[in-house]
Amino acid sequence: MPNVLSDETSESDWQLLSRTAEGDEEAFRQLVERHQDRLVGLCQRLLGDREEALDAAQEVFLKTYGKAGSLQPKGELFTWMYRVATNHCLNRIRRRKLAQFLSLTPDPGAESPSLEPVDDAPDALATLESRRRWRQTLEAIGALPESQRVVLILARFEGLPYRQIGEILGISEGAVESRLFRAMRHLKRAQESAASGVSR
Amino acid sequence: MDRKTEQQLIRLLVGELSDEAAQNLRLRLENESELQHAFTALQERWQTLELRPLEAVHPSFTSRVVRQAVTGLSVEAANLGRSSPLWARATAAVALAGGILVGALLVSPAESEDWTAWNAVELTQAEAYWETLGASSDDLAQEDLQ
Repeated sequence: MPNVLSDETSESDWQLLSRTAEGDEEAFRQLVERHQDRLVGLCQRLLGDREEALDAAQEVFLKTYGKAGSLQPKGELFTWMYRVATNHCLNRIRRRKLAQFLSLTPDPGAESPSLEPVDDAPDALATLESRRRWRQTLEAIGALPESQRVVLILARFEGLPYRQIGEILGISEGAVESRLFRAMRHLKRAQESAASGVSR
Repeated sequence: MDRKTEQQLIRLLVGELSDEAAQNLRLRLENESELQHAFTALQERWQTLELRPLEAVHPSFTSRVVRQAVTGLSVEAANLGRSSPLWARATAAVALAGGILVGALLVSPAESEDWTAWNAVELTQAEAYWETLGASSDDLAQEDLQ
């Protein structure tokens, strides 16, 4: 599997961060441009909401900027940013659940693909089919325990190796493997259960 | 199938095996139909996990982040500052606290049950995804102990 967070990139990242610490605004801009798509993508996968993901990614960049002078160039900068983003998103999810509980309102962050208008284009059926698959995936990964869900998202949708997932989550590679294994078992059981429900 | 073999299959699926180990496992897959069947099912399960494609971030995002970093504002602070002055936020906070208190006093247990029942009916599948998010923090600790 290709390592999407290459060492070559991280060296340059540290240089950009070093220049950022010296007050080089352009260096920080480059750092943001380089990683914004991936970071916003990760946050969107975890939070399920685009606007919230943009806010979360922005917070991660601001934290990176704030720590530019104190972060030691160890490992890959982007792994650190991923870790901050993951923790930030999980905290947001917990806060969201608390707010939801207090206000007794449905979660505004939930995706509702079925509510979006479907046009009359020839590929409308294909679009509907895609949305059905997205919804099924949301349901499937949503039924997983949080620890397994995060590992699955990082492995399946971010394409990260066990080592990097472990670094991001602060767990061993063995724990990553175990959680992914459990997640896949969970999905299998859900699939079998859904199939038996249909056949009844 | 034992857990170790299944974990090896997952490693093969995600590209976590060394070349040699992957080659050995592929040889086994050719000769063991049960193993082959399990791997095919695993691959299908993995590939059916599909989410909406991500859009590229708008260029204005970069400028916004850099501007806020340079001016020293956090996202929350920036958003609050944009939306209302201090006195309005303080009033809103007091009103919110009062509302929660009044709400807690007014909502009877029966009404709460009604709301739960209604919500269960109206809950969309995607919303159900997020409903489950916080229910599993104990799983993390339990799993690490195993």
